[in-house]
Amino acid sequence: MKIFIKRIVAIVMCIALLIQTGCWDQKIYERIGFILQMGLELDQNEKLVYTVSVPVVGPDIQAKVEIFTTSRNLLRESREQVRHVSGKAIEGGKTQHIYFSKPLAQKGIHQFLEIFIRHTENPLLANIIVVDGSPKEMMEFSAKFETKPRPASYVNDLLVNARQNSYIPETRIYDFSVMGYSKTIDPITPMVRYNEKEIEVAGTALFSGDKMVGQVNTATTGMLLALMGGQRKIQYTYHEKNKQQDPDKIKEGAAVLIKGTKRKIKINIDGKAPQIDIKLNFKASLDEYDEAHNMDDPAAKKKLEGAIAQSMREDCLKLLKYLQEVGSDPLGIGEMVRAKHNTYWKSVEWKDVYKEAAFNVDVKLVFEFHGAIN
Amino acid sequence: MTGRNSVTSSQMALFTFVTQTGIGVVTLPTVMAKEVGHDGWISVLLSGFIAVILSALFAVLLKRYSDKGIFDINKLIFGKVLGTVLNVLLVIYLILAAVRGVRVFTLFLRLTVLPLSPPVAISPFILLPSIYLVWQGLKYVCRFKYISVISYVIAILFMALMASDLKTSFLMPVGEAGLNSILSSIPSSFLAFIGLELIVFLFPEIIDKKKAFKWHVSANILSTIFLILVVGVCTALFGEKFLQIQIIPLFNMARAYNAPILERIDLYMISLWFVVMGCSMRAYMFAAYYSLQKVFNMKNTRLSLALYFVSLVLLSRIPRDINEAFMFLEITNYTGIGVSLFFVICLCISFIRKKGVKTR
Amino acid sequence: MNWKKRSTENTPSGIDLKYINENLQDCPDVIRKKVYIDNRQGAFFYFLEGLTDKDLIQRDFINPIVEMSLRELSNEMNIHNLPCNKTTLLHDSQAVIDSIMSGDSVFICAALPFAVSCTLADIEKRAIEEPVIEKNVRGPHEGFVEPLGTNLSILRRKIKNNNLKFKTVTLGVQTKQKVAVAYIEGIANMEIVNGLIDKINNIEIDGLLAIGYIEQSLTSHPNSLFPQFLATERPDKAMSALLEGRITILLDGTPVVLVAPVNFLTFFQALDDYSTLWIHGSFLRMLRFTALIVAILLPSLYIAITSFHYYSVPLNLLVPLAESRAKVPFPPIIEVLILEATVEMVREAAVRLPTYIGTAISVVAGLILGEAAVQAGIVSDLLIVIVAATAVASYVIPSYDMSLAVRILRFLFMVASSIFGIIGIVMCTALTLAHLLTMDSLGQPYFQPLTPLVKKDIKDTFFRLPIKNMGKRQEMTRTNNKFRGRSDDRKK
Repeated sequence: MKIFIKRIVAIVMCIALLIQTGCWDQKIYERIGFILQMGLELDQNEKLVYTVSVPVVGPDIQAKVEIFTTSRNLLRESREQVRHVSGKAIEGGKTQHIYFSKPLAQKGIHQFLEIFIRHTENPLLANIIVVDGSPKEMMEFSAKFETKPRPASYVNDLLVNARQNSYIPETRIYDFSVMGYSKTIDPITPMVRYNEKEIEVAGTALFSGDKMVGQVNTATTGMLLALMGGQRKIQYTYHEKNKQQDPDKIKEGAAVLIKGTKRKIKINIDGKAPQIDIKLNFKASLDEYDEAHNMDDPAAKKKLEGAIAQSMREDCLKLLKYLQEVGSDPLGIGEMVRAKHNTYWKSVEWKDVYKEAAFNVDVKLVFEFHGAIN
Repeated sequence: MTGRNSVTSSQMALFTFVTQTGIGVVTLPTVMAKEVGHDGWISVLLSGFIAVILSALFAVLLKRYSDKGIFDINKLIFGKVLGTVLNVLLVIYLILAAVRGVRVFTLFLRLTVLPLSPPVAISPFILLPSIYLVWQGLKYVCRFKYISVISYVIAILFMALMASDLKTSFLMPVGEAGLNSILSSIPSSFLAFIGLELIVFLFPEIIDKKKAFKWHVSANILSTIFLILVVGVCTALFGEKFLQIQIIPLFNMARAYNAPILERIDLYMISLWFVVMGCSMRAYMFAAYYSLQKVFNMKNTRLSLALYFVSLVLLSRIPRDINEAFMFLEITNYTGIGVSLFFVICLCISFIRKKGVKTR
Repeated sequence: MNWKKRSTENTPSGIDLKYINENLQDCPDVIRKKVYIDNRQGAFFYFLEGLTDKDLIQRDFINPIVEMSLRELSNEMNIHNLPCNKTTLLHDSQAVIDSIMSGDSVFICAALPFAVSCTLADIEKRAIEEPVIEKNVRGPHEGFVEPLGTNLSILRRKIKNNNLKFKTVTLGVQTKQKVAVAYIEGIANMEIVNGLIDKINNIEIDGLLAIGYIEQSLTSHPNSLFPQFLATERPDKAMSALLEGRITILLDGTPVVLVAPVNFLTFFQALDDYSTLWIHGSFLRMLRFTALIVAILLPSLYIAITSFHYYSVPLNLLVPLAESRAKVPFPPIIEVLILEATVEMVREAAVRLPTYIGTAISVVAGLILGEAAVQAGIVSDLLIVIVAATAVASYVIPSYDMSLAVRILRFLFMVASSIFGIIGIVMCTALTLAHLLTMDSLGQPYFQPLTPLVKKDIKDTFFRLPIKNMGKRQEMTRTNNKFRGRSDDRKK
């Protein structure tokens, strides 16, 4: 009996000990303010401006999100500053989007991602987005959008849809870091612009290392993603160039949906500058065309396919040229050279060689379908 | 036959496999990336070979003394006094290894899920299953490892999910680090195979001793495959340079996957792996406790078990910060290599001093 | 004087009428009928009112005996020729008392060297009907009843084989209840059977109100949460266990029988798994194991996530969950404990109350209480869903004992997860599994087909393969007759 009592006392003491001191890591759900979006930019004095958007809930609150802005050097410092004014424990574990203003991105953004990798609570899956304008302003506008859901959900849906149609790439912290650290593949990130009523996807920001060096629009992003390989749905619109203006005809051109892509890259390093041959094989369906209805004629079909392929080829070459000019290598040509021609890669300064490389693109396009009419 | 400690050789193989892979694998990709860049898997492969060879040597050693464990063998080879001294040293190694397990487990826990909880509260709690199982005996410690197989299956499935994100070019060109640095990295990669020496301590408890070595070798081969897989996947996912700055690449891999609907599943994957890590540390705990009983004739009572675990927790608090903890980890691991080599020396001596050697 | 009288009443056999009468004092249910043999020799019939069939006694026992002369009665042959179904000769006073108490009718005549007992029982019993707790869809709808004899007859009717053996043991110092251990000779492992009978023989107890008393005396892990014997009221379950080589323990006075040795997974099996097609059976099995996981983990996962790991909540659920939690003043653990405790109370109330009130209680509690709790801001909406799902899931588990174990485990998990978050859950799971691994049922590993791994027995665990694929009996029973559907005789 005595032993029994002793045991009970011991158990009760243990439980009391646990309950009194316990729950060190407790973060009670409703007492947390979730940072869903975070914006970073530089003000006129070149100081870092840190903006976060936290959804607010509660029976008597009208607003959807709360926006906090501080100007501090460290992200954590800024978060603590935000905690001074917010009633809740601000936590970044659910951060969905990190916005960088263009000038900041041009200075390099790697340093800001460090805290996300260091703290396991923080997500490696937050999207990195470059904003054409001021993230702070955009977040303030987006808090007041009347016809849109909460900004985080809205931007999420926007990105998901745009990604599905290859208007923007998908770049999360870990992708960005992997590419940033690799030194041979350059990251790219989505870019958005905004106005007082909505946010719009604007294409792709090109990076060299972790510094933004250029940008391309949504249509070109499709070609960029095709060049980067992988299976994607890509929308492509074709406009006949050098066509004589027919005043009666308002509509012209064709819209195709690329369903399957096959990419082959051949790198030849024998010459003075590396020669890079890219072969693209597209399987597509014709979505819209003029009223010729002649797709059942193999020759006509082939002609259209050829014309579109030629147009794509020109677009690709133009894009590659631009990439070379700004010195961004999202295709990972450098990585391929490093992996396959390692001695050569070591013997040259790749960043310089890349600018002189000669690209050749060969596009083949086949329509699998052309809809319910010829 | 049906003692609480008796196990079959296949159970022992699982025991070895889990002990080897459980804890080492969490940091191995980074260690390898630091030493040989993207050629870590080659180093692991070579270490695997060595592990297999060592296992075969252990087999020869134990076969020469039929069903004796290392503590009896030591006494036969080195005489009573020196043998006892060596036995005590071996026990100290096992205890240190157990302490290492507790420390590393707590450390990873604080790094990932519970950064603020005091170790004094966490350690006893996470040791509860271990205390229970060590009290029950080796048979149950081994049986529990069947459960951890689920974690391995899920881990492999998870790596398959990551397949589309892998860049094989990160693994190329093969052998860029050069033969020299690969060879010099073998001690580091061999650390992941520590755990293969436990069979020498626990050998008397195996029922079907004849099959023991076939199984032990296959356990080592399996460990090699699994470790190569993890190192390869981590390198192909992160690239060597990014890998070098990390501490827990295995868990970071879990953070990098974007699951449909759930978004972040790292919490669940990490929790699952804690089961395996628990198994891995338990193996040393049991071995140390078992050796204490053998060498010091300690009785398996509630008091001795309690004292044992309290001292484990206290000893595990000696390293002050994470760097010291990792240093401690490394020292213990290198001692493990030393112990393995010591067994090989025992084998050599046993050809000279033939006392107790089984004759046909 | 007293001594003298006693000596005159002494019968040649040593059956002491006075001793019997003294011992049967204040037992008004014992009927003592005096008759005269050959119209002079006094004799007595003893029987219990209510346990004997009076018509039959009068016709087949009293009448023939009274009509016989003393000399005829002395001839044992005539006694054996009595038309009752079982007659026994008794030579000892205590045996006479025991016989009367067990419901036999006893004839004692001072001039005879023995007493005659005959069994003409007529016990009030309820009809054989389907057990309330264990129902099924496609199996027989009969259940065991209280009297042991009826239960044995039910089993015998199902297994028409002389190899079906019942070993009876009398238990209970005060109550003298019969316990029957049933097994099939040739399939069951005799070592296990004999070990079990020895153990039962050693039970020292006043009386057994229910079979749970035997269970608790036999179990090797009395402090465990998990049942180590399968308790069932279904003859078909008992039958399938017997055919597997398991042992069944029946106790007089209770419709519940015990089956052993059993493993953890047995508690998740039901007859419908086997009586339907194998795909249906497998589906039901998986459903039950899913339910097991849900029943144990869901509330604790909710606690872990809402009080520690907020970042595991998907974005689309983030704000709705925060909205519903914002109204609740309690931390998650208190919130869950309140609701879970209420639900458990409702369940307990529904079990004890008559069926019609029980239904009303569940409706009132389930619908109104939950809704009102949300309205009052005591619990969050999501929690209602979770607790409801958990409650339903724990109903899915076929065994009441296992369901109780799961319900208790759930609370332990909840407390652990409120202190250490998901690590609390992981460690509790590990501890539970560790415990399951170390347990045994009659010396056989409790977690058998999984660990230690028996590959061929996996066929009948989380799923059930077609019957033709399950030719071998399970390893668990250590049977010597390894193949199903083969007669021993045919081999010879």
